[in-house]
Amino acid sequence: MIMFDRDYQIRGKHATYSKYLVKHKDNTGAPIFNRFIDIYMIGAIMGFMHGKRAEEDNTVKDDVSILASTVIAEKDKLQFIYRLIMLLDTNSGLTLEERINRAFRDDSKEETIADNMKLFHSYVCGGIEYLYEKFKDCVTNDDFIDRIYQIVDRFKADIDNNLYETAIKNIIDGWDYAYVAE
Amino acid sequence: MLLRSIRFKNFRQYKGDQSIEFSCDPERNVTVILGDNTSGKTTIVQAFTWVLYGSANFSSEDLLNLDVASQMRVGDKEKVEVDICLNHDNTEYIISRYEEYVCTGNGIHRHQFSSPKLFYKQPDGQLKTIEKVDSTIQKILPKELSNYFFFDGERIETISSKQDVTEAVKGLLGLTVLSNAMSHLNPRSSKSVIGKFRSSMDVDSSRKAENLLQQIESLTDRREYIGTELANVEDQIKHYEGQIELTENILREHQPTAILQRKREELERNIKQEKTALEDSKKRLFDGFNRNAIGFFTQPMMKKALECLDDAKVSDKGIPDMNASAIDYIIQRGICICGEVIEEGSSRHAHLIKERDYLPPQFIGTVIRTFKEKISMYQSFSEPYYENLKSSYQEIIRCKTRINDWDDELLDICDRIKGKEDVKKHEENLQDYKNRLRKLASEKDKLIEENAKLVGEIERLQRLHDSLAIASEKNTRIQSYIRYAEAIYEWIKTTYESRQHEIRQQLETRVNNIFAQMYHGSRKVTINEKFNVTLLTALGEEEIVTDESRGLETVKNFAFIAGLVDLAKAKIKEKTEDLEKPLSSEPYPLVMDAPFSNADEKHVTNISRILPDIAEQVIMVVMAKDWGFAETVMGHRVGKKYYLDKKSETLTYIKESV
Amino acid sequence: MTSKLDASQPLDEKKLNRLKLDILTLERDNLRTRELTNDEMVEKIRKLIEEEVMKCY
Repeated sequence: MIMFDRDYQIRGKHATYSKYLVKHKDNTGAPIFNRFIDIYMIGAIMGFMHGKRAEEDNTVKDDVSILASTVIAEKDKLQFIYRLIMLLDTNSGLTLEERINRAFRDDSKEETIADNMKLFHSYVCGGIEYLYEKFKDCVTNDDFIDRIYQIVDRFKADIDNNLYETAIKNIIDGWDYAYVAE
Repeated sequence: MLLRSIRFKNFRQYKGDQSIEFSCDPERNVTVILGDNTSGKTTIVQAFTWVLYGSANFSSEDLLNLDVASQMRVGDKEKVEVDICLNHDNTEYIISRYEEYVCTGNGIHRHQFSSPKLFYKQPDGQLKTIEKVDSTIQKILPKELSNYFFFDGERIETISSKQDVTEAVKGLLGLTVLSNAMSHLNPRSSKSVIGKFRSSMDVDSSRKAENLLQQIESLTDRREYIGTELANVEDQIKHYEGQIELTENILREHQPTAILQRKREELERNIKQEKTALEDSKKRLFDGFNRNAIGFFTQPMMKKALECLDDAKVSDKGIPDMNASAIDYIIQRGICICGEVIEEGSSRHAHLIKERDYLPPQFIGTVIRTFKEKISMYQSFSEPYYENLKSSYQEIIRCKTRINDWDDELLDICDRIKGKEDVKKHEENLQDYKNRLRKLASEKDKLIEENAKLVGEIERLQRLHDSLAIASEKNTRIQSYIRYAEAIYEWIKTTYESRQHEIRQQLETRVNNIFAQMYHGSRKVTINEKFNVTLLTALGEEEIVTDESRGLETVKNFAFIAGLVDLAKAKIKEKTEDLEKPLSSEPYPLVMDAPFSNADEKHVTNISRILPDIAEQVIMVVMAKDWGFAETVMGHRVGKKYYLDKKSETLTYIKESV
Repeated sequence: MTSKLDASQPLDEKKLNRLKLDILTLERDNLRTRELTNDEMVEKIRKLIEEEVMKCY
């Protein structure tokens, strides 16, 4: 497997956002995510689910390093998310079968891997932006707690009801997930 | 004793030479000094104790009049002096005390300390100095009794009920003579008259007799020591009893506060615990959010993915035991297993390629299956994820609400407690006092027990010693002495006991009489062996101790003082014909500062009616507003009247009223 | 005149009364003047008794 086996850098404003969202060892920073790798993973999910992709940013000079060892340790999860996204992302105009292949066969194909990872990373960055927007006005611990609960609760409500049927359709047709960002 | 006059020189407010002549007229025996608060009323009464004993309760130690002090230049010296002229035992005495102040660069200091001088007037009018000032003053008016005659209205509560007045009253009522005689004769002591007679007897000069005497001596010494120790312990016991009562009163007063304080502590504890729980809940929430977030947030994706995979119907299509490289080989060789030619671009070729895709490592079925298993694993986590997060959040809300409510309650309680005393400290003190009291009580018991043993032991040794006495003329003589001495001792003892009992009863009767005149109600007074006074209410058949209001307390104590003075006036005659001289004691005056300050109108009337009759001389320093009422009752008994003219904070003039 | 020293003889009332008076007077006076210590008082009373008992009148 030639992915998720090396260091990863988050750069630019996404790095800044990430730093904001991660709880540092000295307990400064937003107490949401324990590690940068967690942001990476959740970022990917959130980015995909809200149809948000973003290019790597270099408007500001900042970066965050995720060590290879950390990445490798979470390879299992990372792959899982990767596969989900590769399977479900319809923006590249691929058929279902092609997407299945992309999700499950491309692992060893060097050429396609690079593109897939680019796609994956764009969702990561998009997701980081999304998360930052959600939490940027929080100040106290209590604010964060309230916001976390809001997000989870709303999410649950959304997925529990039949709006999902519509959401499925939307996923296939384009992108307009019912779960609208506030 | 009759007070004739008091003279002040630069004593506190009384600048220059000022004096008061007291009325010595037996009919109009009341001297009234009117003054408002801070005009110097208390100073006058406390001047008496200052002259007599050198002590007073002034708030500042400097006695020099401040006007005079401010005029002093460096090097100047000024004197503060007070004289009292009085009659006692048919002798006219003058007691004088002074202090000298000097002005230095650092201010004004006491230069020479209060030293008393005592003079008495000889028949020819000459003044003669008495050397033993303090002891003579002590016999004129013992310090222990001074509280009874220099009367501060404010102290009235403590006077008759708490202190052991036995010794002082004995002195006042003439029992001291008998009691001293008893202790001098005491047959139980080796140092008394009888003891000395015994030891002077000739005995068998063997060591035995000597030893016995030594033993008796040392046991007697031990008894003396025990006596002192016992008195000491009893003092301490009294002290702690007093403290306990005081503290219990304080605690009673602050009972509501105690309850509030306990509540406060409880709240603080709860809040602290709850805050910890809150932090835990928050941590749980954050941890919960992070853990399995993937499983939760990918739910829609996972659902969709399953659908996709189902649609695609990816299944195990591959030829068993065949792998991709085998097909590669076939393609490369160009000839299929079945023998047909495989050409690139042909449909056969395409078909083979397709088959190849179903073979490892192209075969993704396993991967997909693994993937699906992972999905179902994550899905199983999702419900708990949400529920846990929700309950953590709700718990947080609950904690916060509780904390807020308790904080509010705490604030309220703190407000209510603010300024009130820390009850806990008093509770601790109370415990401490009670412990000490217990220890002291057992100490006391031990001492008493030892004492009793010693008495028995001493008696035994004395008998032993006597038995060793050899028959001789000297011894016979001495034994006579002893017989007489013992007889006299027994007589004195009996007399003393019956006297004391009689006096106590007389005192009780007199006090009750006076009390009944001052207070109309169903109460009476009882006096115990220690001469403490307790109020009883006649409640049917029983007589019980009742709580007393301040006003009633005042009246009771007044009655006691009055009774005491009344009795002291009476002469106690000895019933034996041969004794011409009765055991008498001097009458005393009453000097009072604000005597009506705690009594209501009715009591003021009653007190005013009685006072002039129960003391030889009554000297009162009162506030004008209190006097107005009393004057209607005792005005006709007033022989001298003064008023304190306050000119400034530092200056008052004593003026006589006409 | 040893009869008065006989232990079996009853005590003379007159002597007793005189002694009572003397002792009490002594005590009262000392209460006023406070001149004598306890030991001195004991000495004085002792002498009073000795003298009175030995009196023949």
